[in-house]
Amino acid sequence: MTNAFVMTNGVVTTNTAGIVSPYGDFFPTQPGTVAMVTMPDVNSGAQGTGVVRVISLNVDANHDGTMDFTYQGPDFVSPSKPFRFWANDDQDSGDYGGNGGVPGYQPWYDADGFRESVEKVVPIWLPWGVGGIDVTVGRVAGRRDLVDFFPVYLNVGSLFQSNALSAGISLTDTNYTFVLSQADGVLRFVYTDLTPMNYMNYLRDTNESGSLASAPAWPILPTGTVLNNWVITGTNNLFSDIATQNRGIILVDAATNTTQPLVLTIYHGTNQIVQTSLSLNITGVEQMFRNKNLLVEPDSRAVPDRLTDAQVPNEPDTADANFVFIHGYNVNPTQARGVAADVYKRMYWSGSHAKFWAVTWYGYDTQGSFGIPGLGDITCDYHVNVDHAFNTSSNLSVFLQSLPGGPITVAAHSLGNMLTLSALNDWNAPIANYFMMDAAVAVEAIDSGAATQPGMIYSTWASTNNYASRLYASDWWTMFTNTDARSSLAWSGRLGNFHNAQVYDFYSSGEEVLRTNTIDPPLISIGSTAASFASYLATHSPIASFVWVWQEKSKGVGLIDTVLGSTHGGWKFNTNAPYYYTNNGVLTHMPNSQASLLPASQLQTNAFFDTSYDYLLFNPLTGSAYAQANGNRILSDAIPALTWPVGSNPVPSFDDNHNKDMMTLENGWPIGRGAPRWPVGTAAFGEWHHSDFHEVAYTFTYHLFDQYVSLGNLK
Amino acid sequence: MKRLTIFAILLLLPKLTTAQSATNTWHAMIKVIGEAGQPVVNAKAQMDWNVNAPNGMLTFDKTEGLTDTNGVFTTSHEANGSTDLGFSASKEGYYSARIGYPLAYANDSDPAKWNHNVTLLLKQFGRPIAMYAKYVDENPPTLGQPIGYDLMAGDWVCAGHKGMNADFIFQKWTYRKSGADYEYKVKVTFPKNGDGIQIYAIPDLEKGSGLRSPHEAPVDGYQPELSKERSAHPGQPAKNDSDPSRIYLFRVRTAKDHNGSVVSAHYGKIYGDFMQFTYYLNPTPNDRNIEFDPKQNLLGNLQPAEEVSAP
Repeated sequence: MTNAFVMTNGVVTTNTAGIVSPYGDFFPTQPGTVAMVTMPDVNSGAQGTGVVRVISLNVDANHDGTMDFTYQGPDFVSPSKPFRFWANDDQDSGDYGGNGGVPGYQPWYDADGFRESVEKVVPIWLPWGVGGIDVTVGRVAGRRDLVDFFPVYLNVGSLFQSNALSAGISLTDTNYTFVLSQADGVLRFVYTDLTPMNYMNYLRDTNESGSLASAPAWPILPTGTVLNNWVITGTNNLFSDIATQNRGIILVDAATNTTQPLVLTIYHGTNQIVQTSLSLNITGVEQMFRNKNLLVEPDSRAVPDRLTDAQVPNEPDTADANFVFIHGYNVNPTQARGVAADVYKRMYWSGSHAKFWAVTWYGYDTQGSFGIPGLGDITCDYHVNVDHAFNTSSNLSVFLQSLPGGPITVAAHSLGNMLTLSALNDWNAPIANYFMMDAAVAVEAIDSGAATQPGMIYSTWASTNNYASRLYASDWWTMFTNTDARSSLAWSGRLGNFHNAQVYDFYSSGEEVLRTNTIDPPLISIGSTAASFASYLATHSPIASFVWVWQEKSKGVGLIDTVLGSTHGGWKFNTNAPYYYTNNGVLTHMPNSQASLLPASQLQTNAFFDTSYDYLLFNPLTGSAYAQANGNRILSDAIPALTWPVGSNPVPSFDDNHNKDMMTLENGWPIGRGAPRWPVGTAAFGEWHHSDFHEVAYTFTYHLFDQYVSLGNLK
Repeated sequence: MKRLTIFAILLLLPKLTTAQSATNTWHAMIKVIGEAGQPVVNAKAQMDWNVNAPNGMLTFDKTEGLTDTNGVFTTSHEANGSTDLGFSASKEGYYSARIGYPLAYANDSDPAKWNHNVTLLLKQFGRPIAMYAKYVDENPPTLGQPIGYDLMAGDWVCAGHKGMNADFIFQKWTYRKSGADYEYKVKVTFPKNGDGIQIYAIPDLEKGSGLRSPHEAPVDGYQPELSKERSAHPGQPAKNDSDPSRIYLFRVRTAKDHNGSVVSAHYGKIYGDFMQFTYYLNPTPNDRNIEFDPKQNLLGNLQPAEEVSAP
């Protein structure tokens, strides 16, 4: 042979299709129809041309949204460079249900039905064209499940193409059989109508993902599974669509680890005529990303750190960048694994090549489960976990400093932002880009100039009493100079120093947990036990509405210290003299007309708010040192914020394009998830709730992750 | 006989319990009118609400019916923890309308919350057309400098971008020293005499309509310049005149005759505020129609986050 040329539409081009040897060896470098040109005849000099059809199984190995078919191209895979993907071993259900993404939860018997499908399936080694037999198969477990499938292109279209030199396989010839197999038998596949040009629609088009959400998932048996030409994959049967419509995308998932390749073999009768394979390395998803445990208390549910390359043996190729995800409040180590896995998968499909680091921290102190359907676990003491966040922040900073080269992008959820902002503000953590998501942090903590929201003032201090703000616990810090540590007992500006980080506020105007509310917390209805609190939440939808605002407004006036609020400081009045006195036999509370004139020197030692619990704070000799030692705890449970939470509002001091309402990032929305908000806004379909970034299927939320990848330069 | 009595009482207990808990009933009335204020008869009116199902999951429930000859639909429902009440109306040939009413979330026993009347405006479909439409969430490539934006190209008019004709000129300044000391200013101007922009004051009745804007842009009233500011400085009150729910109407590519009369212009609208907004531009000169058909966006190759779904 002298040359192998690419044939396009039956015409021989001058583009090389592979490497040839004079002895007839041919090493193709791309799939398709190839014209093989012989050596010149020694006598006549004439050359002959034969046709070879090169087939392949292709994947989007670098998950950039385009499939490249070339040898050594960006999506090239081989036994030494297999396609790396994760096992589908979480439990997904519908558009937003399941086990929160926790991997390995019930391997082999998960809700995705994988094992069940393998066990129940009847032999389906059927001759091509027979089909139609009612076999029991598993199914895709909802749109949420689709991220656990990867598209594979059956690149066999050239087999059906005829040209002047050679005839292709006739679509009516039933002697040919196309068989998928995999030695471990742990794969399934789903037929689709997708092409190599639009295959990402299975995740990004809600109509396409909807049509696949409960599609049959056929087992790929070790003995082989025949591709069924009776399946309609768009406008026609499978092979007709492959031959004429350039279709041929199947979705594949794996039940568990495997390194055995996916194999496509084509038979003519019983004769094998061609075979190709796709090298795979499939593991649990946690073998693909890294993890850092920053728990301050030991917990047997926590997984060990995964910090080195050896500890993430199936990590795909990464760029010189780091992406760190930090979970929020009420997330125990098991749940943290689920959230991290969900976010990792979504960042993967949005094209991130950054090293992915998940951080686990102690934000679930007092978490319990109350067996209330739909409620799950609940952590009733918010404030102690705020304190944990502050106490973890130096370790977070140290960890971030230890990361390998490349800029660090952090995305934190909910109370994870208290931890991250503290690491940034207090410990100068080396963060280049920071995405606050549903941040459970008051606006004033970032914007010291933010105006007080009247709705954040407890009613007994507002309305008819109208006490001056200088009497508030929140403003007590203004009584001191900055040489006294009590001057730092303020939410205002507490976390506002970002150093050089680019900070973005991904908030949701459809929040429920961080939803604004102007009334006093319904403390009596909520009760004083964790169980009564759980019961209240479960019977007031959307579950957990307003609780962030209410925990701030319950500081000092709560019924108990461990359930929504506290019993000290905050909005509790100082009941001592001279603020309460008897006037004509009637116990009287000093009115604002008097109280607002009280000198700072008096309020420093005898504040207008409750001083009983942290009484050392009000002692001139011990106050500053006490504030120094207990400042974060006091902030968390005794100093109410006076502004709305960042996670449901734009930050006024941010540039427009650093405030992102996630409601505008919805790509449609699941029916029944959040009250409809249309037609307000341009793309808002339903309320984007607090944990929807990972609970709602990627098909609805992918704009968010695309933005992370784009703004963080994580491609 | 004694055993029978006890059994009968036990049977009654669940019903008694249910009856006692259902002490409130909410009542609501939807009146549906057209753009001329006339009642819309036989419109589908719906009230929906959130409710917690026995399994603890949040679900939805609804009542629905057709409006009568007065365009009215009334209904009532047993108060069972229902919240986030929404009212909507639809009819073929009209844009749907919806408004929400946060029904008695935290004050379940507040009787004032249990009656509500709403009026919904159904705007008729006019002439939805293909337009240039895009969501923009970015600053000009260079801050502090006037930079043109080509609405038909969907890009800036400067090196490295594909805009050719400036329709808008944006000049933006940003300054942030801290959360208490910052300043963002945007100045919007236009290259052609007669180009301009105006705020559309959305009537309350229109706020729930699926078509948020008017059907047509007005002939005049356009201002040649618009300035926005969001700022705070120590010791000064903060300023913020940005409103993400705002609607602007604009006229660009204006040509005038020697008398100063407009002979040609393109009209459009903006949802949002600068610099996070969605723009719509009618491609046909002098056609003031600004009703967009979301299936006919003349801008191709938009990023997913730049696509526009609202009419």
